[in-house]
Amino acid sequence: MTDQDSAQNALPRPVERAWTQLLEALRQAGVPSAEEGAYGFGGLPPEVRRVLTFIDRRWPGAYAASDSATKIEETDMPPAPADPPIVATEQPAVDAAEVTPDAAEGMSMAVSKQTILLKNARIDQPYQETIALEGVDELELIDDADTGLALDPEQDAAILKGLPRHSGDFLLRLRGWRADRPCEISAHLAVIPDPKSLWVSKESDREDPFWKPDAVFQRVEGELLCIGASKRGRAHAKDGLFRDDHVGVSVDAASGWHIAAVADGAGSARFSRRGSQIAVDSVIEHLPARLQTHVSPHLDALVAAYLSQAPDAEARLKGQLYRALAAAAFDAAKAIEAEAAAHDQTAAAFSTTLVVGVARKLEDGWFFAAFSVGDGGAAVFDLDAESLTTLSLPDSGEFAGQTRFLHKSEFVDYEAVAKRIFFAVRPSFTAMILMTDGITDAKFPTETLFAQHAQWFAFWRDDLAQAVEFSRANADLQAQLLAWLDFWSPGNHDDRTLAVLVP
Amino acid sequence: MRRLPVYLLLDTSGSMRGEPIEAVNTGIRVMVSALRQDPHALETVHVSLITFDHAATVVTPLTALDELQVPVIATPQSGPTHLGLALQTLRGRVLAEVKKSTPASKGDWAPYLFVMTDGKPSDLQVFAEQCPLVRALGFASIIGCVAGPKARKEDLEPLCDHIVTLDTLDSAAFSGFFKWVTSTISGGNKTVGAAASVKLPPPPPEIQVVF
Repeated sequence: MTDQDSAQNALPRPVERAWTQLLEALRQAGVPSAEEGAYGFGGLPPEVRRVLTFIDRRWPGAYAASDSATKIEETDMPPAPADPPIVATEQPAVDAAEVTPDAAEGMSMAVSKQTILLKNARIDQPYQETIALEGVDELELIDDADTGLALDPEQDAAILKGLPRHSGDFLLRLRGWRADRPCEISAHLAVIPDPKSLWVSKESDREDPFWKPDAVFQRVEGELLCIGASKRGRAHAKDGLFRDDHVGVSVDAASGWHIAAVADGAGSARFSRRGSQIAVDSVIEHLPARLQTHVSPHLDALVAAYLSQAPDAEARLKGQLYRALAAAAFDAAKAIEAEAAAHDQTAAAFSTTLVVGVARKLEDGWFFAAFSVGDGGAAVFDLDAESLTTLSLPDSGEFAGQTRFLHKSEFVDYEAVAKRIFFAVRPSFTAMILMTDGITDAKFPTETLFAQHAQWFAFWRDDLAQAVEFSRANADLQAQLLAWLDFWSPGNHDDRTLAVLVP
Repeated sequence: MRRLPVYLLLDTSGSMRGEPIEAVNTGIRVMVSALRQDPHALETVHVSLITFDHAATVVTPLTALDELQVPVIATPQSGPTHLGLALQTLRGRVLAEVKKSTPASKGDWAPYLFVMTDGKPSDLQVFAEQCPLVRALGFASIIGCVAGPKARKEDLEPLCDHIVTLDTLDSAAFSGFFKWVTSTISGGNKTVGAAASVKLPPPPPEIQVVF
């Protein structure tokens, strides 16, 4: 059913009386009469609009029949064509070439109406869509709604083309003929903005007690060059939120230990930016002494045993690392609890992940170890030897963003904690890198890729080390690295933090 | 890329006919428009619309915000409120559409579910069976909206983490509700590295958070 004969829909007498009274009331209220111009729905009180809508839906075409000169328009409808008179209807959108009963309900005898949904356009990108409506021909575009789109005059088919310059929702109007009757088509068009253009950066609140700078860079030198950098993500910058990540690097010249830590405060935890800071600061402060006490004195012997494949060497090495790395992380969890208590909060409000990595020169080669709770990760690799050792446990949940956090409850038994301890012994290496998930999610989207040396080599050779020259002589290192942290990756706009240790 | 799936279960039983369903249609259009102005939502949010009356209909399967064509939802003249059937349908869709993390593939963000009804479920037994099954799917949050005088929050409690009420079924109430849904989705987008519980944004005056 596409048309409806209005004669079948004459108003019942009481409604007609009410209609006449309404017209009279409108005239008295100073609304322009039918002769002077159309009754715009927009100028009417809402109650009246509702009555008109009701009458129209119940007796479609009725007031076109009762007063053919009266035109009624919805404010959010396109203006009705001047001739012939038409009746306002709801605007049910239907699939192209299909008219729902609802749409037909509102049609007058003279003009059939149809609403269609056009394929979405993208801003500043050429658009082309063929409008094929069954039984409708001689389509012309009445109103392009300032989209700049037009029907291609070269084509017989109705092809809507152009280059939309503004984003938003638009209602275009077309007119055509269906079986010798005029047909009006309302076409909904959404022009999608470019996400890159929508990002803004708002300053975080400096008055906040836990405020911290939106970007930091650290550089210390020992036998290794240790670089740390952390930058607030677009998702936080857009709303003037804080950087939740934290980073720290240090070198203990006396013992020869190089230490790096990165932490990612949980986005949903209120004071997580403080949690990540406490975690990193606590590790940087207390880890050197623990390493010196529990690892340094035994390291050469244990590494020698490990390299000669002594049966219990790995377990004994892990045992010593447990007393240093895991204990330092446990200290950090306690420090977070103390801070939470001091502010009358639960430790959950300070939830953060933590990745700790250490490196020390051996008589012949290098020793690396890491401990982590939560996502992000650590690895050491050697481009020349084409080898990679990952130093962290994949710690993600079944959905994105779900992970574990540094709480005392993570330290319940030795086995569970020890599986988070990793170490590596290498004759040489290109770099040791620690990252939060703001970087791993974009550069190493899956656990499988994180464990692939090809992915790491490409990441280093073609991406990070391409943009940043990791050398002691590079005066622009800070600027290069902070600029690199702005890399574009759709959907990945979390804070980004990394620590890089290179010879 | 990781998607943020958002499922909207909407009551289209007979009592929604007229102004209420028009208000819902407008609300959805405004919501999609607003989400498209949020760059993070534009890149990650995927929306699915499922309606329920005597049947459950997948009006829009899970679709990216930039590809979504906002449909107009219609209501039948009258009919029951088969919310249980809708949950059954939803569950099938979620299992098929939402990706979980595996070592070799990247999972979606935990999905959101919004359920709006103006009555009580007519298929109580199916509803009771489906509630725990749907809850076990791992939604970040299941938010119920009981609209109008006939709907009771007690009916949705077995399903939802949060319930809001709308006193009336008019456009002001629904526009307030969908605005709030919009900010909930935008917010859900930001809790990168979310912990277990999801915080809801403060509601507008038209709606009350009751649970």
